Amino acid sequence: MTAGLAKSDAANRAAWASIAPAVLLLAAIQGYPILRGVYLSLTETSLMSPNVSRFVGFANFDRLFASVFFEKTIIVTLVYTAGCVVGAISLGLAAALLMNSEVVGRRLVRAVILVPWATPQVAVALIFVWMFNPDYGVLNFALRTAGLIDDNVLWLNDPDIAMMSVLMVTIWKIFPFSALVLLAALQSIPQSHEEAARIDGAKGLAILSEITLPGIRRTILVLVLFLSIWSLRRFELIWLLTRGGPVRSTNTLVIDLYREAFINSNLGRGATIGVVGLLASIVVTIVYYRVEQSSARRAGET
Amino acid sequence: MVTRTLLRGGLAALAALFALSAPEAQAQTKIEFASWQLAEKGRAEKYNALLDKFAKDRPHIKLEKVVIPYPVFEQTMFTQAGQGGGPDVFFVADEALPKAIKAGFAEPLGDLVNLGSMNLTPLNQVAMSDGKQYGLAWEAITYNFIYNKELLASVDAKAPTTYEEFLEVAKRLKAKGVFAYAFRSAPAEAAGMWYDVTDWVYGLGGRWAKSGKPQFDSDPVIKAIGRLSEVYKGGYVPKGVDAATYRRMFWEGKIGMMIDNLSVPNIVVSANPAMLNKVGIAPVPFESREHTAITTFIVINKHSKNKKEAAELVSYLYSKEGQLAVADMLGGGSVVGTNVTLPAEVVAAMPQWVVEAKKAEAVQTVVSPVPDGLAMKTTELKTVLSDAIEQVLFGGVAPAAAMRDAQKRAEDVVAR
Repeated sequence: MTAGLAKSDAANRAAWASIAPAVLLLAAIQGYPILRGVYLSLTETSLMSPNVSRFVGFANFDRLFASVFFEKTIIVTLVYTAGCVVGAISLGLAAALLMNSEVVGRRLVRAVILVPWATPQVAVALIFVWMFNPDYGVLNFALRTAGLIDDNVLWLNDPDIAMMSVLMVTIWKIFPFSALVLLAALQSIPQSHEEAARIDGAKGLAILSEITLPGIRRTILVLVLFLSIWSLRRFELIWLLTRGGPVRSTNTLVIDLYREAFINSNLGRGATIGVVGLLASIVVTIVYYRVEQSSARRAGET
Repeated sequence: MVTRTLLRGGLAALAALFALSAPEAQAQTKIEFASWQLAEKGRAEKYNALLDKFAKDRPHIKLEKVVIPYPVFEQTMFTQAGQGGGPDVFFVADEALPKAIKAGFAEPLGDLVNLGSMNLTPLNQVAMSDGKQYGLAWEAITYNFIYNKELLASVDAKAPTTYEEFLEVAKRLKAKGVFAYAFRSAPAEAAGMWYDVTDWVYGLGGRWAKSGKPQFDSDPVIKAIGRLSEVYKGGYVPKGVDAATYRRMFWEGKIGMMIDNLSVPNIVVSANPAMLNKVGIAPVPFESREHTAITTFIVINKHSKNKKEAAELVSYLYSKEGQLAVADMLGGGSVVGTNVTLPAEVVAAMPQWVVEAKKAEAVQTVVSPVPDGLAMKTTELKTVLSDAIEQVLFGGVAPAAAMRDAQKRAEDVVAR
């Protein structure tokens, strides 16, 4: 018995020793920046002298929550994140189903679908700014020529439309990732399941809802997690397209963070917004694991 | 054996080469000079020639030019300097200079360069603090009314002298199918809107602040924003454009009028030489005859490890030879930081718009765009203003309501 315990202790020590380098590395490259960010959020620190901080407790949080724009920023962030997740997964699923089918030119479709993913974000933003130009942009030109509009659409200047425009660009840019991941998941569903369903008389939509979607459910959940966190953090596209405007209609937490920390030079207040963003990411992750666990339990029960 | 001998011989030759070249390489001291002007159309060639001459005459210095676009210049410099780095010599706009001095980024120049020999103009006094000179004025450039003579003539109009005349010309140009006026109206260019709006406010005798108190809800400011909104909503301006786009549209003959700084005619003519005699300059057509100017300063980075060499560059740029070249490079629209007189033949060869600009400036008063008493808060106040303008232009909020809200936010910024 004693010998067994000693053996177990030794095994534990060996296990801890083997993971220690990884833990230390993670603590250094992830833990320290997070802790530093949390500390900064409790201080008044200027970008111009980042090593000089004045501890102010939760004053930055009080100011942030009292700001007239904070609620709008949170709503904009949620709308943007939800739009990206729903849009990228829907379009990605459609593309994956197309690539998984026996259509002519399937290989070409696979190559073309990858183009947005491979294009640098800065190039994407600049091209779309050009396309969205109200007076000279190709989008308004096409819509006018087709007789669909009389007045030019202010794609990035109208507060009611700007978010939709930013979402269009973002979804176009990120959906190939969803498509590829979902294609891999689709290809892992045994053909025999679909064949059996067809023999039982099931058709298109029924097969999709009863065989295909349940088969890729867990992949979709993982995608929701990744896309949510990436969308909460996305900066370049929004900044280059609108700087968070007009009238803060595309002003997400990350845009607010950047403006506060690097335009207004208030690192402490910027870090406060960063901490709120971090908490949002943690909430998304917790929700994912809860859903994943309950999904696994249900799968076990059935 | 032969191979080994050859190898040894080769290695010895290489070592000798390194030995010969090493002292020269080691003796060169690298300094970095950062500016947004190094890539500007119409200026870049002369600018690079000036700096190349400095480097060629001083083999002990290796000069590296750092080009950073204007919209992110201040932020990039301050972020780098905040971390103890950054270029050895860099530009600072007037609104950012007090921050640079307070943050300790700017090295006092008195011990590094011979200020007494530079024949400095009063512009340089802005860069003094506690009796020390922290920067030197590089360029002061005014905002004026810039118009396309040919387009205005085509609608039988001359440069307007009042807002009412301006609107009348705008209506005629619109009827002709061209845009009458342009300013930054893309949300992505919100920070630059500050300058675009300033002349409208100053033209009514308004100010962004007086003695440290924001004036965003004052009558002249509200009226100025109302006028800008009227022009925007009247369909006289291209919507959603940035500065680079509307300036390009101007030299393509698609825009009739602008209020912009006097580096723009140089850019316009450089991009389209056919515009040389079409560009006209007139006083800003508003009531007070007050307009604004941006002054740019040059500073030596406090964190520079090669201040002596950085000072050599500054001394050269502010020598008579350097200032003549700078004045020539900046064009007739700018004022340099020293009392330098361009040769008569250079002045005589200047285009007509420069002559018109001098006349326009003679009847106007220059007022700094930096809010009085709130220089340290300018960046945050810019954000407040751009939010308010967006609300008016894109959100349908009345100018008075938007500016009252902006005033509260500005007071909050000041109170922090």
